[in-house]
Amino acid sequence: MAMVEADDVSNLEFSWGKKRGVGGKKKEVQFYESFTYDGVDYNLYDSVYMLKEGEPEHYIGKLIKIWENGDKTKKVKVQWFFQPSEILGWLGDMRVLENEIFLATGEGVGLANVNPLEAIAGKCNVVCTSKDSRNRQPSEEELKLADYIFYRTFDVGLCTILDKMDEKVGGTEVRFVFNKEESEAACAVPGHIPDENKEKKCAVVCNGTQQIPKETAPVESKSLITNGDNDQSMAINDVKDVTVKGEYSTDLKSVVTAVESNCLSTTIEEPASLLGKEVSGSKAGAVKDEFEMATDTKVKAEKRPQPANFSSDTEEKPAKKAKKDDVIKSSVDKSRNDTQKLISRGNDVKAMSTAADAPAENAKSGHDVLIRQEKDKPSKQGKVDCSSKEKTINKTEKDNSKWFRQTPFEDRFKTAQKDGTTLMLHNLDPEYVSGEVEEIIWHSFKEYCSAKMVQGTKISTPHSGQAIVIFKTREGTQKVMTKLIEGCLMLPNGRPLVCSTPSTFPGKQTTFYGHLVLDNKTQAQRGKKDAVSTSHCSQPNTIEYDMAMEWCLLQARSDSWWKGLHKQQGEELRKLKATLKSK
Amino acid sequence: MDPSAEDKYKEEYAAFKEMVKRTVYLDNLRPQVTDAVIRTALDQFGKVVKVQLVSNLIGPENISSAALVEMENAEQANQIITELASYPFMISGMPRPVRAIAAEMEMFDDCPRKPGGRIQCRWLNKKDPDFEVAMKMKSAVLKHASEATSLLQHQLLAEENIHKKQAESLKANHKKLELIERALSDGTAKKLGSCYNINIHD
Repeated sequence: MAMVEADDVSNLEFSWGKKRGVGGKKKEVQFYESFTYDGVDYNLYDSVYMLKEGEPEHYIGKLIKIWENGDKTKKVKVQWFFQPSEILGWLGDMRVLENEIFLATGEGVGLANVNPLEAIAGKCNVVCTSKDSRNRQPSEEELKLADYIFYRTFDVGLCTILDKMDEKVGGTEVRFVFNKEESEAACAVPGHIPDENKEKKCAVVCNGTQQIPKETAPVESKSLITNGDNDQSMAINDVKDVTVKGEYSTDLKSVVTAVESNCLSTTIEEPASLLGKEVSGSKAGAVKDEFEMATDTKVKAEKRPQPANFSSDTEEKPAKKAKKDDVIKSSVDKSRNDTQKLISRGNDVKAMSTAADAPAENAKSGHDVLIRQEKDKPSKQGKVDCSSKEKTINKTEKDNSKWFRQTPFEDRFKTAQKDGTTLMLHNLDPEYVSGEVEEIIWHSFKEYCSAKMVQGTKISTPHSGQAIVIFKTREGTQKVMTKLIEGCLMLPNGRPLVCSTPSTFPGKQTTFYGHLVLDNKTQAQRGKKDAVSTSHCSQPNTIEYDMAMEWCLLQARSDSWWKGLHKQQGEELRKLKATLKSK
Repeated sequence: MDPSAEDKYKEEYAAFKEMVKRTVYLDNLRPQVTDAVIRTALDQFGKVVKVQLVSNLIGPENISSAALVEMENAEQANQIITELASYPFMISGMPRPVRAIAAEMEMFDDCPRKPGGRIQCRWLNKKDPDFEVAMKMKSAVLKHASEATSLLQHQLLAEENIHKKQAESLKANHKKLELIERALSDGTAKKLGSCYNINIHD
C-alpha cells in the first residue's frame, strides 16, 4: 500500500502512507492520511514543527490535509497554533502557562496555510488539557512529556481568545482537536524506518480503530522525534528552496518571485496552482474553505467513500483552471497575504492584526482591494513598509482597544508632514468648520484639500481659529503658501488669512506631569495596588489633598496668564482692525 | 443656499447647541486615559452618553489630554462642573486633579456649520489702502501664535517643577514612613520604649 517516492531533490527518506482519496480534474491529486518523512511517521491531525527560513523559532501547526499533486509535489495544509508572544496584544492580563499555545480558529489569514511537505521540521508533542467532557484527560506522564499544552483557541478573525470549543475549531472537527484515544496513540508509535510491512500493519490498526471517534494531538513519546532534528533543519532548508522554486509555472513564477524580492522571501509560500482555490475561498468569505473541510471530515467519519472526496476536490479544480490573469492577480494578492502573515508571525502583534484584517477586506470587496494592493506593490520596499502601510489602512477599522489611538486624519497628517503637503491656517473665525475651510481653499486657489479645524481648548485663543490643511501635492501646497504670504486673502470680518508650516506632529505622549506613583513593593505591602486605577475625590486630611491644592493653584495661575495674554492680543488686533477702511 | 437645506442646517445647529449644553470639557487628564475610565469615573454624577477624546495635533508632547463628555442632561453636566470645582477629583492617578468646564461649540470636532450664508472672501490688491493694514494684521496673528506657544512652554515648565517637587517630598515622606514601619515591625521601637519607660502601641 505504501508508495516509495524517488525524490531526487531530497536526500531525506520519504514514503507515503495510507491513501485517502483522489482529486483534481484528471484525478491526478492523491490525498493521504499518513506518510513517513526522514524516519518519522506523520498522521493526519498530528501536530508538527514548521521551520521558517532565517528564523530561529519554529511554528507549530496541525496537519489538516496531506496530498500529492500530479507533478509529484507534496503538500500539506497546516492549521496554526499561536505562541503567547504572537498574541500578546489580545491576551491583556490573562494568565498564560509556561508551555501553553493557542489553536487558531475562526476565519481569515492566520488560520491555516498550504506548505510544501518538506517544510515540516519534526513532530511536536501537543497535549490538549481542555476540561471539556469530550476531551480525554491526559495522564501525569503525558503532561510531563508534552512539548506544549493547549486548551484555548485564538479566533483570527475576531482576535479574541476563547475557552469553549464548538463542534468545529477553524474548520476542523473538534474530535480531531482533542487528545487521541489510547489505542490510537499506540498506533502512532511505530518504528522510524518506513518498513512497508510495519506501515501496513499500522494502517490496518488505524483503520480498525476508526470507528471510535478519532481524536488528535497524539500523545507521543519523545523517542518519536528523531535526534539531530536541528542538523536536519539545514538540509530541510535546502530542500525547500529547490522544491519551491521548481513548482511554479514560468509566468506565475516571475510574478511571485518579484513579490518575493519585494517582501521577505520565505520558504513557506502559497503554491500557484492552488491559488485559484484559495482566492475563491476567501472571496466567498471563507465559506468554501469551511465547506471543503466539512466534506473532508465528514468523509473521514464515513470511512472515506470515494465520490464525496472527489466532489470536494473538483471544487478546487475549476478554480485552478481560472483565467490566467485572474490567477496572477490573485497570486500576487495571496502571496502578499501570506508573506504578510509570515511577516507578522515572526514579529509584533500589530502587524498581525492587519494581516488578519486584510483578507477580511478582501472577502468583502475583492476587486477593489486587489487593485489597491497592486498599486501599493511598487511602493513597498520591504518588510517594514508592507506591514506599516497595511497598518494604517486597517487600524482605523479595527481599533477597539484604546491603548493606541490614531484617527485617519492624524495618520494622514503624519504622512503628509513628511511629504511636505501640510499647511496651518490662522485667523479663521473660530466658528468655522472644516468643510468651510476646504471650500475657502477651493474657491480661492482651485486646490482640493482636506482640512480640519483645530479643536478649541481652554487655552486656545478666542480671537483666531486655526486649521490644519492637507493638500494633494507639494506644488499645490507651495503655491497656496506663497500666494497667502505675498498677497492678502481677506475673509469676512476683516480677517486676512494667515498661513504657516505646522509644527511636527507630537509623538506618543510619554511624560505627564502630575501623577505620582509609589514604588510597587511598598504598594503591594499595603495592598494598595489598585489605588491608581480608581477615580476619587480627595479628602482634606491627606497628603494628596495638599498636593492637589498645589496643582489647583498652578491651574488658577496659568488661567490668569492665558486670560491676560488673550486680552492683550485682542487689543492689538482690534486696534489694527479699526484702521481698516473697508470691512 | 436653498431654503430646505437652510432649515435643515438650522435644525442641526440647534440640536448641536443643545448637546453642547449637556457636555463637559474635561482636561488635565492623563494621556493614556480611555473612554471606559472616564465613564466609570463620571457615572456617579449621572448617565454618561458619549465620551470623545480630544486629539492633540499641534500641541507640544507634554500637555495633558482633554475629553468632551456628553451627559444625559444639562443639570448633570453643571453638577459635575461645580463638584469638580469644589473638591479635587482625580482620575486614574494622583494627585493632579481633573478640571471640568462647560463645553463650547469650537471644542467639537464635528461641529455643524453655522447656518446663514456663504463665506465671502476676496483678494486684496496691492494698491488697496487696506493692504498694508492687512499685512500688519497677518504678522500680528503670527506673533500671537508664537506668544501662545511660549506661554504654553512656560506653563509646562511650571507643571514640571511642581511635579518634581512633589515627587521629592513624597519620596521623603515615604522613606520616613518606611523607617517607622520597620522600626515597629522588628521590635526596635519596643526596645527603645522599654528603655524610656514609654508604652508603644501599634
